[in-house]
Amino acid sequence: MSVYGEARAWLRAVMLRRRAEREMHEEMTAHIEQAAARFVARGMSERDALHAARKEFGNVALIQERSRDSRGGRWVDNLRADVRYALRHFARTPLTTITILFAMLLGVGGNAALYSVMQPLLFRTPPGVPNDPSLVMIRGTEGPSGRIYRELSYPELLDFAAQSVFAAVAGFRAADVAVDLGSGAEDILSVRTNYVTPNFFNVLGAKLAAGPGFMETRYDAHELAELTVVVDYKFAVKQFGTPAAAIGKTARVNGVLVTIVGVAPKRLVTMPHGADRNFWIPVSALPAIEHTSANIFASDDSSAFRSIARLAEGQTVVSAMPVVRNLAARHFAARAPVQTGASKVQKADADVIRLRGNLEVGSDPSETLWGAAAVVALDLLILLVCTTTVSSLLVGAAVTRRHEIGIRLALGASRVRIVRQLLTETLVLALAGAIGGLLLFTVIRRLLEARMEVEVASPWSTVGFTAAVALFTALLSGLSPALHATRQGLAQVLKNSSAGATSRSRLQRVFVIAQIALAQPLLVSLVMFMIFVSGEFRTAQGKVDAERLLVVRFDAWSARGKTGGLERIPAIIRRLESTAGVRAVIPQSANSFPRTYIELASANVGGAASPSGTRVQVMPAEIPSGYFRAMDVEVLSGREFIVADSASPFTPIIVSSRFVHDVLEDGPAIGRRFYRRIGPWMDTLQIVGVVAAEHGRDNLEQMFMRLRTMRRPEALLIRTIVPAASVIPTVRNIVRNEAPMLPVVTLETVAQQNRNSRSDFFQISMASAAGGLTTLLLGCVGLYAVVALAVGQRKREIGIRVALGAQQSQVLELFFLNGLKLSLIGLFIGLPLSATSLHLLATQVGMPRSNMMFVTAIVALMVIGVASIATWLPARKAANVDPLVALRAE
Amino acid sequence: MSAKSPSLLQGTLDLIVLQLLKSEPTNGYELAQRIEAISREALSINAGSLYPALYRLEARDLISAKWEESKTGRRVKVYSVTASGRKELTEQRDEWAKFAGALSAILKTT
Repeated sequence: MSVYGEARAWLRAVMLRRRAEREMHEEMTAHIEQAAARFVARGMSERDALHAARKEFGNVALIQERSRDSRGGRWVDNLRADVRYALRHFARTPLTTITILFAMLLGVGGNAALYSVMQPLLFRTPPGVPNDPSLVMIRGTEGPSGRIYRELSYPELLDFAAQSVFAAVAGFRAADVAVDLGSGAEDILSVRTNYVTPNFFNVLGAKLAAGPGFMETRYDAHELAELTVVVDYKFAVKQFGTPAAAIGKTARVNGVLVTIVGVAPKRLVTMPHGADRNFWIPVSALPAIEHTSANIFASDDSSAFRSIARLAEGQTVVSAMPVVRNLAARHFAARAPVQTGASKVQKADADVIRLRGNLEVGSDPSETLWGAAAVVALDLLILLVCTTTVSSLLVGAAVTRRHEIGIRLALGASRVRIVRQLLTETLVLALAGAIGGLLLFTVIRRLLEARMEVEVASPWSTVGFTAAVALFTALLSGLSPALHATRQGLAQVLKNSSAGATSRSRLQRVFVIAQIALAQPLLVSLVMFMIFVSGEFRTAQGKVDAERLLVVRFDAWSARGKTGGLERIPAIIRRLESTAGVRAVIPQSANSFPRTYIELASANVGGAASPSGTRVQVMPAEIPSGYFRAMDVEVLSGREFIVADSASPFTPIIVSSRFVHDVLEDGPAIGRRFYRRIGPWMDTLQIVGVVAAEHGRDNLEQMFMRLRTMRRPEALLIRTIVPAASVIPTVRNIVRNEAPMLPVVTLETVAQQNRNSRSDFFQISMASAAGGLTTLLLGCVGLYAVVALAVGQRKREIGIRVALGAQQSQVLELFFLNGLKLSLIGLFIGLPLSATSLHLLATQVGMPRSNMMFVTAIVALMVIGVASIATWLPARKAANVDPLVALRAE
Repeated sequence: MSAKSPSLLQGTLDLIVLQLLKSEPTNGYELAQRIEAISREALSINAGSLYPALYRLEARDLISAKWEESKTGRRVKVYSVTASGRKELTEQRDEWAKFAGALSAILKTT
């Protein structure tokens, strides 16, 4: 048959099935009537003639069946019949159906959500940028492996732009600036700015949401400073109401007046900055605003730019690569070599990659292999847990249907036919789960797009992926149970109903063990994540009321090198200290030291102590002199930091009572020494004081080092006598007057900060907990199904046992222990998996190991606890079996 | 197939149907009667073979069908050969002629 003929037959079977049936029936009826007319003409009565005609015609139903086979498109009829049968079956087993649907929804929906986030990161242009395969990023690299990224010089940019492989090249340079909108009510804002070549938005293919854009259009225009700015969409809406309202407004950027000439497309940001502030300023304005020399445009030594480009027609990344590499080598040779001691400038190189992910950290998918592999592993784990749950339930369902299946086999249904039927049921569930998963994904997508600058894959792409996952899940979880269900014929089924069931329920037990084993690493990782995140959210406050503590954080990066910035902080402190209602002003560094290991010195009497090899992980906090007094923290022994500490041969440290208990086992602390390795040098630390442990400090933050006055503090903790919120306007005015170039990032009470943190932490932990508990719940549903099935199959045996004198407790014990055995096996198999995931978290993510054993133990207990409940319930049912009922029913 | 009639060789029913419909489009009942009449009751096609053959040929686009009113006023489905059906008929007739000639030659040998 031709393709056209096949398509027609298919369409007829699908779209015109009813009409075809009606016509077939009518045609055969007409045939019989015509035959009857012939018999009537021969002298038969009408009734006899009709009877003879029907006899002559034959079995109408059989002939119609054969005719349908000949007509083509029979599979459509079969599929319809299978789906109808499946729906009737689901209606009879609602609980199992809902559980399977739920598992499918999670598996498929979870996969769809992960795909929708990863796909754009790996394969799409950044948010707000049209998806164009000719868009590339030119990256400067250096080092022997070419994996150290460097910025490009402006002359390099111009050279790249002159090459025929590129249709256009644009450059951008990031900076943090202080912006004063001049409204009077706002703080100085910290804004992420990119100084861009005027053709930047054209190269991206991004159409501005409002405004004409930059006046200059030449890509290499930099001689005359153009004091204009394009602002991001969210900023424009927040500050001015609508994008159009922003056009023509002015602002001071690092004190220089600029005019807003455009609003960027929605969602276009160069880097998700956590704030709704992204500016783009013409590169010609860079010297004026950054107070730097215009030599940046002429010198190869001033490497400060990144670059995007559009490939010329017919060009590819492969053809562009040698061009950029040659140019980079030429510029490297032209640069004056810098030799400082043993260090040399690494050989400069360049490469070209497709523009993916985000604009500031462009990366090729091959470079994110490990990250992508971790996501795929998580993805597979979720899918495996779900498919094992579904398989476990399907096996159980197949066992209960063995009589039905045996009878159908005996009546002539082929094994293929029944396997097809069972697979159709699984597929219907998978598709229903996929639809539910897509709805779930829609909600997640809205959340991601609203709260994060995350581009999400297009709905159609996700729908396609989801359908593929649903099909894969259906086959994976449905095929094995279907094949097992059809292995035995009716005779075998009727002869020995339990033997076959035993082998099938063995398979189910394997699935349940796998589920419990897989749920553990997932749960353990989630709990560790929650603990890790919670540490980020606490602010130490000692015994002081959180409503009388104010936190002021400055944006040190924006203020760096600018007059009226960080160097004004001492003046701010002096004014604040003399303000009514303020009791103390405590300068702080914005961040603690990174986690570091210190070694405990051996307790030598006299002579130099040497490192004993015991390592302790700490995160020292930098505090100024007088901190503990200001915060009402009791000094238990020794002293606070004093000014004379700056001349000490050792680095003085103060530790908390918790540190003394955990590390020194409550031994003498004052005078004890530790060693900290800094590169090739060893820093000696000596305890000069012990303080009471503060509420709100992490386990690792139990050691304090003196805030060096050489380092400018980047935050202030202000203790007030009055409620701290009432002092906020005064603080804002003082900062603005004393340091107009110093943006304020945070200005809120510690109580407000704790409330915000609790809210964020609550959301994150609820989401994590939901995921983990759902996994555990699914595993336990499978366990319940296994034990319940065993109870159902062995009802007769239980009846006999009880009739012979077995106690209820003995029956309960029998089934409970059997079920518990499964969970223990799953637990032991899951332990090495948990250990592996924890090791990865410690080495790859840097999570502290201190809580890991505790968390593993808690999760194991939780798993056993929940599994015990899932096992006890059906076991209790077994214990309540009435022997008379059980024996009579059999 | 009737018990008294010789068996149809497999595949020849399609050829018979195409040939008869080419000479005169008709419905299934009339077609069965014509086959019996032309073969002088040597061949009798039952409904169980005829209708599957008709639907098979229709699915392959070798014949087409439309509903008409018969002489007796009854609504019947009339089949006729399509252009591709005629081409197929020609090919099948040639094949059959070759086969018949070969068989005949073999049967003539002593």
